Amino acid sequence: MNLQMTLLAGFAILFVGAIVAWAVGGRHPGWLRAIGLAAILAAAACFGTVSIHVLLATATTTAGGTAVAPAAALHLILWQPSLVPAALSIRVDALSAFFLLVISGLSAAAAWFAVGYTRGMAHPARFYPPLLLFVFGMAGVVVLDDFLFFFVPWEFMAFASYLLVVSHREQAGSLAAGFRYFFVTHAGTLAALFGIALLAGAGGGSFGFGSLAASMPALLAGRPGLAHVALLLILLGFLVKAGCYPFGMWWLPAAHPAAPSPASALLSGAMIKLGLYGILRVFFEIVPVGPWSLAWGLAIAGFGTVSLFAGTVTALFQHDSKRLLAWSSIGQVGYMLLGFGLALGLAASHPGLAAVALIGGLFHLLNHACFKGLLFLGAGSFELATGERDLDRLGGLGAVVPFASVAAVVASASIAGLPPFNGFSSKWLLYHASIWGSEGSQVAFLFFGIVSLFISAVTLAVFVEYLGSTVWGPPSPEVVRAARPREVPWTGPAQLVLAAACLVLGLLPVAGAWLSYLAAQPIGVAFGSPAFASLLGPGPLVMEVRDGATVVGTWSPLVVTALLGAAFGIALAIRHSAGASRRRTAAWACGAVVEIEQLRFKARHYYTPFKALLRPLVAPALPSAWLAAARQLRPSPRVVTATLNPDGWAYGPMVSGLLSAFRWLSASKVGLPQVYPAWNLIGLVLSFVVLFLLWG
Amino acid sequence: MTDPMVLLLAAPFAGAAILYASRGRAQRALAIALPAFYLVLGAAVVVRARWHFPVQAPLFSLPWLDDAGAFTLRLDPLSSILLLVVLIVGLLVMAFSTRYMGPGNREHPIQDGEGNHRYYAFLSLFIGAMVGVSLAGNLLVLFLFWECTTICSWVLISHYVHQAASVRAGFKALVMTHLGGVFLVIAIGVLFGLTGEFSFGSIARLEPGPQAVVFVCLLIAASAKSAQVPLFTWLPDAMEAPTPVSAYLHAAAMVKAGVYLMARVILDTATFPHWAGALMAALALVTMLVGLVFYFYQDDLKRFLAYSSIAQLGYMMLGLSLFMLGSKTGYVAGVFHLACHSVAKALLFLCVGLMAMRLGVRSISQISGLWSRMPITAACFFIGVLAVTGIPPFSCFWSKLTLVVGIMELKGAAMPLIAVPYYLEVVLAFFWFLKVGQRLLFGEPSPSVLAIAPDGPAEGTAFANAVLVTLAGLTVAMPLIVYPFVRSL
Repeated sequence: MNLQMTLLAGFAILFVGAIVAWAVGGRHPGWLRAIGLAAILAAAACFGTVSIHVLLATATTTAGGTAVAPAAALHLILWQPSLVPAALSIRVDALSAFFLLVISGLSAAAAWFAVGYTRGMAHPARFYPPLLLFVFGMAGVVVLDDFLFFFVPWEFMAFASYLLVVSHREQAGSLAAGFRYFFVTHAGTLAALFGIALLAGAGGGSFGFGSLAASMPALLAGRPGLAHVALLLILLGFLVKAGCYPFGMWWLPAAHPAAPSPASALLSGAMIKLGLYGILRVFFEIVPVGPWSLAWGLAIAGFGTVSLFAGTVTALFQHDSKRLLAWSSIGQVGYMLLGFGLALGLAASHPGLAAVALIGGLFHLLNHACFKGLLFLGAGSFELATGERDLDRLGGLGAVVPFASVAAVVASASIAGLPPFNGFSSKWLLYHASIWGSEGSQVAFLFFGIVSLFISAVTLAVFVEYLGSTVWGPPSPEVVRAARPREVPWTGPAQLVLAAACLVLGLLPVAGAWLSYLAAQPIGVAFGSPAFASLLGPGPLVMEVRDGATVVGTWSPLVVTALLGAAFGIALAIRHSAGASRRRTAAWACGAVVEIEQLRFKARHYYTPFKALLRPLVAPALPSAWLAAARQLRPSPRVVTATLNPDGWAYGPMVSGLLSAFRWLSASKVGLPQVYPAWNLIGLVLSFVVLFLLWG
Repeated sequence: MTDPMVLLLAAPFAGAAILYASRGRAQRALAIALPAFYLVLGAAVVVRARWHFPVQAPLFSLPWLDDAGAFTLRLDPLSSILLLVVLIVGLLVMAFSTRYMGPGNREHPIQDGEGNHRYYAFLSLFIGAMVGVSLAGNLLVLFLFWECTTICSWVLISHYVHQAASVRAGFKALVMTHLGGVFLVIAIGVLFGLTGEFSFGSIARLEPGPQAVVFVCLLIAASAKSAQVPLFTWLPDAMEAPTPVSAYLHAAAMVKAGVYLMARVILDTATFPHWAGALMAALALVTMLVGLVFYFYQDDLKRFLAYSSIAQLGYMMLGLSLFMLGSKTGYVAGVFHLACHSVAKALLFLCVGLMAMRLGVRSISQISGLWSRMPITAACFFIGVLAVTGIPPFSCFWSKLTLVVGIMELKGAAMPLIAVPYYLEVVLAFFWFLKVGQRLLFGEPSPSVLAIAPDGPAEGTAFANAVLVTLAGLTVAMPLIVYPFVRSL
């Protein structure tokens, strides 16, 4: 079976699987789970094979050399309609392969987890068919080579994920969340579609990526205003899907908690990345580097910085576990956008650092897929075990769900950027790019870098709060009541695999950076196509950031880990040699007798002074106040219909006027009825006489 | 040997007579069999003509009008699209009617088939009239069948003759659409007087002044028929008609005649000036926005759908107008949308019909959570919502996508002036449709819904649901069916 057939087989398996799962329905939940798992694993295997093959092919064409051969890609044209200048063509280049790898890996983990998770669901039949279609849509988005057909799987994906969001529809707020999600992202999608169609229409070419890219320089030179308006529409449209603040706040914190946890993991771990995929394709592949790159770079990085600040800070205030994670996703998307914005802004002045920033953004995307997917699965485990998502009512879960707790600790360390976990490596690249690249007009990048450094600390605070109120501490009454769930063989292992990925990518950051470097090949031509070794260091174990020939930073996670481990060992040894014993005793409450529950340190007790300071900066999570205001503005039906309905002010008066005119005329008709025909006859004759005189 | 096109035209008229005479079970069987026969015949005609468009056939001749090429039929890709839409939806609507027009209908129970012979006969007559409109070889023939549809519409809207509102609504529709017919006569008169011909193409030979008069008259005629501003107020009132009639006449077929007229004239003339396109686009945009505002004030599901039809017809007119503004793609999108919208809106109307039939109400505030009692109907309604608002893979997604491409091909200020209101309409229509669809499908079951037996096979529900499922399938298939014709426009 060749590669193209493998790819198409992946799609076919998902589609047929969805239909079969739908036909099986809720009558046989066991079969349903088996079908769902088998379909996703098989499809993930297909997609994974294709993407690994393409990435390896890209690696061989770029290995060692400084010049990059045309990126290896799988290309297949399925249909060429004559109606519109577009083609249903599939092209898997390294960037697509990278995203395909993220999607297939994460969906396999989520599907594995779901086998255990759906045992706690009342209606697994609502979950599996849309899940398969959702994966189908996501994979479809990244393999298409045409920006018109791009929107077909894109909207299909939105529809399928909407069904996932409303699958717990008995719960309050679930439908509202689904509605919000579908509507807001649809509005964004249309904006992006309009922008793309504007570029294609004004450029006069087709919707193919290559054709759009070819027509772009002339368009930017000839009609710059129009081109930049179109680009702005595209950027805003994709930012909505990416969940960037403030657009993301309108749907993301509502939709992610409402969905079942495996779906949340995919929504946050994979789907919102596709908005970034669209931005990468447009701003790095279609738009050439030019004087506008700095402005667009600043705009994207600015959006990213606002997003990472607002998202992470708002996450601090959340008491719902999945809502906290959702806000944190808004923040993390900001890091990726910061990377892409830096890459765009530095492309002209510091191509090397720009490439590092792009690699850093993509690497962070990969890392975020691992740790945020993991965190959502963990929140699902906690919910499965206790039925609770309220952080104030959780605590001490470490003993109840050990695998999930270990995984949550790893994921939290990763997202907070603690070395040696993977989040550190990618953020480290971003800091370097922002700091070394800022000079002259680009000094804003330095500011962005400083904000992101500060926010990294806030992220740590958020996840200390998260871990402190879920995994650590004394168990809450809810946790005590909870039955001890079995994590093996489904929910636990799925999380441990992702946790291992976080650790491996953290200890061997060059592996992740190398993957990101390969992914950047098709879109990074503008950076002069530097070899990997000239950007990020000498070997597989040590990562060095280079700006030109100078090494500006070195990161050797294995050495640092060894040192940290040694320090930890020394500390243990000192403690052991001191012979101090641990003493377990009840908490001291100044002598007062209180319940243990009242002494428990809950999520809302963390960082109260800091939160009080930040409170004014946190926007209302949902624009419900605006909606209420809009409702007030809605004029009464009578006013609107009376104005817009011409029956009342045009036709009605006209008809009654006509009727009264007829009545007035008919008043002349008095006397014998036989007389009227006589009058008519006389009138007719007279008319003929007049006509005859005129034309005769 | 009679030409098959003439046979196709004659069949529904003969069928009307048969249906008028039949009663009881035979009537119900015939009401399905006859339109199925028309569809087979129509499909055969289209497939036979497929490789040598356009096909012409003389209908009959009057010696004193033969110079004008008076009574001919013609089949080309454009007429094939309307023909297929009319026949396919016609069959499904007639089949649905056999269950709807019965004693089991809680909204309008019909005992002993009272008035049904008139109902079916006029539906069949209407199919014939629409076949005539689509096959018309020139404006004169088109006008004859055009007025025929007006009369059928009047009779069918007023079907519940004991209700004053129905009779009034029927009369209103008759007066307003007939007013459009008057302008059509004026246009034909000017054309015949100046060129001595009735053919669509002869408009191209007129001087600019008379051509403008003809264009404006045709636009008014089409606006009245397709419920565009300012003559749109008859359509919401026409919702007094039996729901299958609303589905067919006022969503899928008759209102499309106005769009078809403009499409036909624009395609065959192809020389209308820029301002004509601007005028038509402006009217279409105003219609879309007026329809949009009215969405938010409707509680009656049928009136809601009627305003949506008005706005969607505005999309089609907008698409057609783009031809004059320089985008052929936009024109094609308008015609494509005609077909895509027909199945989607017919599906929505028939779903509402079935809901009203079983629940006895059709107000948005009184129906929610249908999934618990009528899952198939509710799911079909939701598919209709997705199809009308344009979510892939359902029908209107494809036509709206094409329309966006067409709009973006425009040059100058026209593009933003059209694109911005269009964006607004699409987004806000999606907002309201999704809200209604979600409530009906997933919401908390309302008392009216809880009152009916769960999965209780009410009279004819299974068959009616089968019709709905077929239509839901067509929302996916229709773009594929009409694509070959749309492509060769």
